[in-house]
Amino acid sequence: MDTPHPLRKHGAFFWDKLLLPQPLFEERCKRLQEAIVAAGDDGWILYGDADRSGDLVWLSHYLPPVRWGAAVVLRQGPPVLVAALDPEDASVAATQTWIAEVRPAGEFAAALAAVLNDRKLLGKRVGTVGVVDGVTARDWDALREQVPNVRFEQRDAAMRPLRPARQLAERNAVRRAGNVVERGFEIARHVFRAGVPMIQCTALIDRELRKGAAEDVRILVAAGEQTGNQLAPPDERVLRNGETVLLYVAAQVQRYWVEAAQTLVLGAIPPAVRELSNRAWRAVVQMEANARPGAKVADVAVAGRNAIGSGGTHWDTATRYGLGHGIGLDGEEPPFVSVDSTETIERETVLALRVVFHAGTLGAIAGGTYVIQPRESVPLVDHPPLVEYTS
Amino acid sequence: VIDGVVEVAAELRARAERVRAALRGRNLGTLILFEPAQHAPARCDSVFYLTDLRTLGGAMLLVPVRGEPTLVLAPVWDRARATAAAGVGEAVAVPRAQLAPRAAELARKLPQPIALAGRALMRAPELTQLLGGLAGEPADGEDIVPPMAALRSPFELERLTRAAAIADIGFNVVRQLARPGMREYELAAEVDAVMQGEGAEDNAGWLASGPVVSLRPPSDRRLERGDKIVATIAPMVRGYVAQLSRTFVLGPLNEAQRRASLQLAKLHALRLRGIGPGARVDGAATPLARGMTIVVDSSREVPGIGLLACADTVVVDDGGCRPLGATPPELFWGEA
Repeated sequence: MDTPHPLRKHGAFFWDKLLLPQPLFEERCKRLQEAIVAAGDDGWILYGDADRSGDLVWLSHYLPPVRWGAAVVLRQGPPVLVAALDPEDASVAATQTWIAEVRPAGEFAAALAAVLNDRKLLGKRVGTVGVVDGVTARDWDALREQVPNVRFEQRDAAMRPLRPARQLAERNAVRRAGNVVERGFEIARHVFRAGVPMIQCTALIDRELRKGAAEDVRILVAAGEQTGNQLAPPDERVLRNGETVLLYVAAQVQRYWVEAAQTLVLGAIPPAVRELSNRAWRAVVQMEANARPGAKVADVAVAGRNAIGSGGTHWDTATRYGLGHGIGLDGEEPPFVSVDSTETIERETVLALRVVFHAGTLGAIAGGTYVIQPRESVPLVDHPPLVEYTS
Repeated sequence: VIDGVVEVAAELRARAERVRAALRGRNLGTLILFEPAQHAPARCDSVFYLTDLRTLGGAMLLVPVRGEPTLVLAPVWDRARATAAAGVGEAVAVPRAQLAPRAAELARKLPQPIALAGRALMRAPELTQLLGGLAGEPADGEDIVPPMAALRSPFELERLTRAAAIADIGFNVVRQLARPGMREYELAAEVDAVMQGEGAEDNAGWLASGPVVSLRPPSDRRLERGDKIVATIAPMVRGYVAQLSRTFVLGPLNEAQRRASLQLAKLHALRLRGIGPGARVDGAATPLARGMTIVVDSSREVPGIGLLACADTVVVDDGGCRPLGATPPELFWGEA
């Protein structure tokens, strides 16, 4: 879900080596090098920035807090990490990654051209991952100008099968992120009060998540008449008795994202809100029940549509936000849950599923993150979809 | 009340009119301004300057020489918030992939020729889509808005002053809550929460402790007695960021630190005295003018002590400059 991007990521930045040990990354690098060989390339560039960095993080664990980073990987041998940093900050970056060679860089093109030259990739074929859609046009043009005899091939599609979290360590990391988000919803039951500005309430949720070692926290809300219109970043609007609050929370912990959503009412739940919330939750449950390894993603969306009811306001608002998508090292990643999808769900896919309704002056939201397994999926955030809040 | 909607709307109308005047002066028909989803505190956000809206998924603002601006933005569900923003006449909300094609489609119907600002921020696919959809290569419009945005209006100064006050509060949280055993990120979480509660919508700051060689995001390091905590605190209030950088020692200052604190205060005062209308900071091409706001950074490495952070956001006025915050420029300490 689109949320306000932070000016700088300013949460907990460290590498928990007990949770994600170095051999995990070495094994990933080996698989990546096999993919490079299979593609017939001589090396790959994996790019990431503060907006989107899943591919880079998957290999390196380095999360650019600002600007960008890129890893250059050859068919064999250790990779090199180039990070947009001042030279005195390179040692700090080195604590975030297993990659031994970290090069601080200013300009993207000059730095990457130097690495391609050092690694003897001039005149060779180099795959790009996250580069074409991530680097600015100016930087991308400048790189191609500086190394005109390198043949670049876009390899985003070849990278994707490597990403699902299949190893125990990865699943544990995802669970930890889920636990942090869950704690946010436990706190949410106590922080929303009439007479208090929304931003003061969400500040307490944000604090809880960051104290749980979140690197990044994203919160969207709607309250009162806003619930009939749209979600928005928290502002200074003062909450009132009887209001409904729609709460969406996402957090990144040790690079893994998890999200969930809940409807809260400051007082007794009006029947119309209960009905709306139930319908949203039923749709999430139906989508989750149909999301199994081998299932078509489109069928998951159809299950949601059947629960929501096609046509009309509910389906319209739900699809405006999207019914869900993969989630992990990026906040949004394939597959995207849509009736038009042609994709299939794989085992251990982590899916964020959500339904948002805006109807007249009312609204409801429900959602969670699930690890897809053959018999039943595993919810990562255990939270009730609808909460009646009485102080 | 931090600012009146009427005052902001009137100011934004005046800004749009200044852009139109600039277009007329260059015989241009329409200016397209691009802003990506990833905002940056050190860059002029021209779309925000003209709309008072911090967009979520990227935006293109079309300002024609005649008529109201149109904002094309993502995501598709963010239209109501955009429409309510003081500086937005018409908002067209689209999926992110449709941003450039839709903006190009709308721009073709507006007065020609077109100028483009924000080109260097565009990724290859969206630049290709935009250029492919326009009638011809757009003129360079990069320098139209930034000079206008360099001077702060009263409501902008009000927001910045509030941001600076919140930064003071944030640093006080460091002074009050830092304890041995606490992790850096836990302290940073407390700072963030208090500042959010005061109205900060983001914080472009970092906090680090121990033998700090540079500013960095908070880690899992546990604070220890005698630690130096270097904090850059940069809350954003309604789109405006004020920066405060200071150093806090967890325990009493030693003699070397006391001397360094006095020297730092003198150095900072000296630097502030050099700021005023007509002055050029760090060799900048543009001299300072009354109404500009800048960060004066006197942070320095002191042998044997390490980095001492000291930076303030100041407004340039007739008498020189005035810090917007109230935290004294010294090395702080507290009993562990």
